Amino acid sequence: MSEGDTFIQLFRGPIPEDAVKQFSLGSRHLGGVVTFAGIVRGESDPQHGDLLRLEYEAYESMALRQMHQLAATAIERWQAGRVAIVHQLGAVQPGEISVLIVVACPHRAEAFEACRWIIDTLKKDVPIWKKDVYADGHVAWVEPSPPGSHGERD
Amino acid sequence: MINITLLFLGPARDLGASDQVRITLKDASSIAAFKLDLVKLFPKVERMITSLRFAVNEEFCDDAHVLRDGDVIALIPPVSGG
Repeated sequence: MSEGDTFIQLFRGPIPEDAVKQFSLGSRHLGGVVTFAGIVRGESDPQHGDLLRLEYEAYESMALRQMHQLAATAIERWQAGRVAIVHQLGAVQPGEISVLIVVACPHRAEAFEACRWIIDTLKKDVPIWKKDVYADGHVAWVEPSPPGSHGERD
Repeated sequence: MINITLLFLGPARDLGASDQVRITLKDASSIAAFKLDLVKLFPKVERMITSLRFAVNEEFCDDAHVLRDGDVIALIPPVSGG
C-alpha cells in the first residue's frame, strides 16, 4: 500500500501554477521536487506564417484515467509522495504552459526519473491531440514524430 | 447480437458519420475481426487503420481482445499531447 497525493486535471484556460506549486510543497519528508513545464513554442512556417496557437482536445475520461494511472505508477515505483499532472485543453498561445508535471519524492534522483517517465509516457499514450493554427488560417493536426528523432516537433 | 458504441476522436473524427455511432454486431468478435467490419462501414478509416489504436472502455486493447455487449470502443489516432 503506497501513500501519495495526486493533483490530476484537464483545464480549459490557464493552468493554476500557484495551486500546483502549493500542492507539491510542504511535506517534511519529500526532499526532491522536480517540475516539468511544457510550453508552446512560437514557431514559424515558410508557407503559412507564424503559429497563432495550438488547439488541444482529448478523450477526456480516458485521458484522466490514464493520468491517474501514471501518477499511481510514480508513487509505486519511485516512492513519490505528491504527483501533479495537469494539461490544458482548447486554445493555447505560444509562450503559455500546455502541460505541467510536478513530482515530489524523498530524494532528487527518483523525482527526476519519475517526472521524465511521466512526460514521456503521457506524450506516447494519453489520448490528447493538438492542431496547429497559423496566421494565414491554415489548420492541421500535429503528426507526432518518434521521440528523439530529428525534427521532433512536440 | 451485441451492441457497441464507437467513438471517432481527434484526428479520426471525420472518418465516421458522426463523433459517436451505435453499431450492432452479429456476434462477439475480436478487435481484429471488428477492424474488417469497420473499414466496410466507414471506408475512410482504411487510410488510418495502421496507425490507429483501439481503446475498449477507456483501456487500450490488442487485436485479440473480444468485444462484449455494451462496450465503448474508441479509435485512437497517434496522440500529440504535451
